[in-house]
Amino acid sequence: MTDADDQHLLNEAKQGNRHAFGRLVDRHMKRTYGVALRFVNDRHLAEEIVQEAFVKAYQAIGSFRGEAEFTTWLYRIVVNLSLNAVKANKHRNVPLDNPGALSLTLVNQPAEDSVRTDLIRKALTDLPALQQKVVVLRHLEGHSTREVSKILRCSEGTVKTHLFRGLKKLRLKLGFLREEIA
Amino acid sequence: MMRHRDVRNLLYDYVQTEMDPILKVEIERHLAGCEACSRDLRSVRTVLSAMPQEVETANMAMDQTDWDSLHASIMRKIQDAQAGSNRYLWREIAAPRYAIAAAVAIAVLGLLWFLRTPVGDHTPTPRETVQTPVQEQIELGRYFRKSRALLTGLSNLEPPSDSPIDLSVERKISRQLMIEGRSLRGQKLDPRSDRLIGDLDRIMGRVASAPEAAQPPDIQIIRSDIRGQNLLVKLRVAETSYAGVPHPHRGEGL
Repeated sequence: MTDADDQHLLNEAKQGNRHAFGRLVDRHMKRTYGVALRFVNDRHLAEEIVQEAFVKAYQAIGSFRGEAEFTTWLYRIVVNLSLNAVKANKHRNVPLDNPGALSLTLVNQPAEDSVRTDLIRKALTDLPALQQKVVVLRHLEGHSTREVSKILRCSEGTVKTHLFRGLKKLRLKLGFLREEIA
Repeated sequence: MMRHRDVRNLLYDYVQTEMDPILKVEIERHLAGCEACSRDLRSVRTVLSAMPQEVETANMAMDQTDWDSLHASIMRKIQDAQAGSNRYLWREIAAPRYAIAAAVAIAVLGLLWFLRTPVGDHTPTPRETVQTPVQEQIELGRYFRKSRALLTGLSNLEPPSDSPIDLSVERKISRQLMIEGRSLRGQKLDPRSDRLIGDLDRIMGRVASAPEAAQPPDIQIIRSDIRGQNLLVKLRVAETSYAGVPHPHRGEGL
């Protein structure tokens, strides 16, 4: 998957080729679902967000001028929709002791690590919006600070500042880390 | 000596990335004399060490069928959104003179359509001839056959009056058929096939979203939908059209 391929599909989609847009959906659906899921921790809500994001993208595609990469633009939509959903559905956050809770499990992750990851995920939802966005995009989704700055339309310096503040706040919220501070 | 505020702006880079050695020395000099920055640095390092070390997409428990279903839902919503926009656009541009002109045009077209469908004539007229290329005809025929097999099975289901029935296989097949149908609709089809695929898409959607252990009333609703829209007859006619065999019915219901 290359950006050039995306660009070609994007040009086709702008001409009204829905099939080309369907190919873009196919390419980026899983990653955008992952981003949404990290924010909302609810599979059905993440699916709704992804659907809405692609509908919005399709409707706005004629005005997409290509100043950013398509993925940057798309992630921006998903992140904003996700945080709106978190605000609107804060009461739906699944408690960690709920057996149905969806955890950000990693491949071959030991059980105690998955608990830590769950605690981190929960603590993230308590951060201010911008700090939550930058930490999730940078440290859970693996984007560089430059990519994060493009997605969120702010400077890299702002991203790094909020990363530092967000990570600092996380330490206060994560009780299991207290013993590890010298 | 660097200012406190400047150092704090660089602490993230200090923790994460390789830094200019001279800048690094400046920061370390500051840290040696600033307990607040040192403490914050330790906090951030600790949190980073607790973060997942491998970035993995958080989409476990989704199999290919789930992804296909999500993709189909996205494309359906896009189509619905487009239809909504077109309706809105129509309202925007409609003015009485256009409305009258449109009504006249529709009446004329309706009359022409009515007149072009001869009663009792079983031979397709040139305008009824399927225009799609051979490969698409084969795909269409296959799609209609599979759809008929699924809907026949559902129609023949006789669930016990009080027990749920397992629809997991039907759900999976209907999702697959929805994807195929939408792909076909993306190509240039004759209007009848396009309409039939639209009707099938709705019933498939109902089956796909039925509970895996469906109750008898759920099955009854699906069966009455199939019957009410005469889908099995339409499918039989459509199949024979694409098999190249003159159909025994006059495009009935299509």
